[in-house]
Amino acid sequence: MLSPKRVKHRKQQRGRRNGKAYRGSKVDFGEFGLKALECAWITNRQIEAARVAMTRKIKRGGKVWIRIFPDKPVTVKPAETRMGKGKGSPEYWVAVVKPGRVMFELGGVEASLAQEALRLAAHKLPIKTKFVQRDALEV
Amino acid sequence: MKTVNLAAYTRELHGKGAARRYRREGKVPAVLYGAGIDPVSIMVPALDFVKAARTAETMYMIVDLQFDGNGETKMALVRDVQTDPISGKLVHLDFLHVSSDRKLKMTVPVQLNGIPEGVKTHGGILQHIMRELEIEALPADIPDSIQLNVEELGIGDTIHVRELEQENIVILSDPRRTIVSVVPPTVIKEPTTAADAEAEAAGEAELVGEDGEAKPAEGEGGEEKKEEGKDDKKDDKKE
Repeated sequence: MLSPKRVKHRKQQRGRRNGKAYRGSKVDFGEFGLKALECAWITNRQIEAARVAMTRKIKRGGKVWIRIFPDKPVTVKPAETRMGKGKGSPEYWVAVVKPGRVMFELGGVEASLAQEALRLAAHKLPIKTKFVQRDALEV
Repeated sequence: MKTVNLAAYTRELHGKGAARRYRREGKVPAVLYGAGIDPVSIMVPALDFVKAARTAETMYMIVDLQFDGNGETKMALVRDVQTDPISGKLVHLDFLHVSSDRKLKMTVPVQLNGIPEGVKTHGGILQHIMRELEIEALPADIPDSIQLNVEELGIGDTIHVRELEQENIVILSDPRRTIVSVVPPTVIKEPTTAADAEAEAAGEAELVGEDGEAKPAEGEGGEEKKEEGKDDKKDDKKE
């Protein structure tokens, strides 16, 4: 699973996730992509599940690009603990995703196979997504 | 390069309110600028632009802008296309005015022909790394796309920019860059033992100080020690 090797601080504040993803909103590496339509924290387990679903579908052909990286630690307090006594311990990592972000890309496969693989990947994610193609214009 | 005709209208109103109104009417706000002319705010029908881009198979094409009323025509190049990051709808266009006797710099798509030998027989993956090349040429000499035959590429073979030979155009992209390569198929590595899987799942990151040196992670132990210290002080006071 994806996680940072070295970090400056073990714990982070939660922050906000307003706005759209202007960067990383186009298909840049492959020919097809999966674009987020909502904002979310995507955990490293979800990213891994989506990657596995895609690679199993396309088997040996094609190449997968993961355009998000879970670099934000999420802390959790132990069960049945009273409030206070400081922040909990880091439990897992998330990637902050805003609407418009291309999260996964596929290349070297037929459009129908890419669509099916990305559909399976989308089922592993907690947000609405859409299938996009490189340089496709919409009216 | 294909030239397409597009109707253009001069834009009297500016600002986001007017621009949004134009977009609702199916027109895209745009600007026309270039050597010899003052910048003009214009708008073009969105549907016509999308259809033209589909016929030219690229967004970056030469456009003959036909202005309303006075029958004036200006040759322009699509310099920039802004789209909404979520819906992908057109937001704004930049047109660069060009003249037929002046060389211009622009990007041209690279089109691959055929299926490489390495993909057909050995299951390799074709990686199209550079999809556009920057060139300099007269408008009449600009090709629709640069055609590249990749049928003879085996696994590990690559084509670089320096290997291209084109007439009447100068390629400005870095000659050392790779355009296309065929790489061996990826092998999915599953964690074999339970210990490997556990190590992956833990995902503990090393702490780095501000000077970039590794520091031991501050665990629960450190906090406990602090608390113990506080208790000791309290006890001292009681005594």
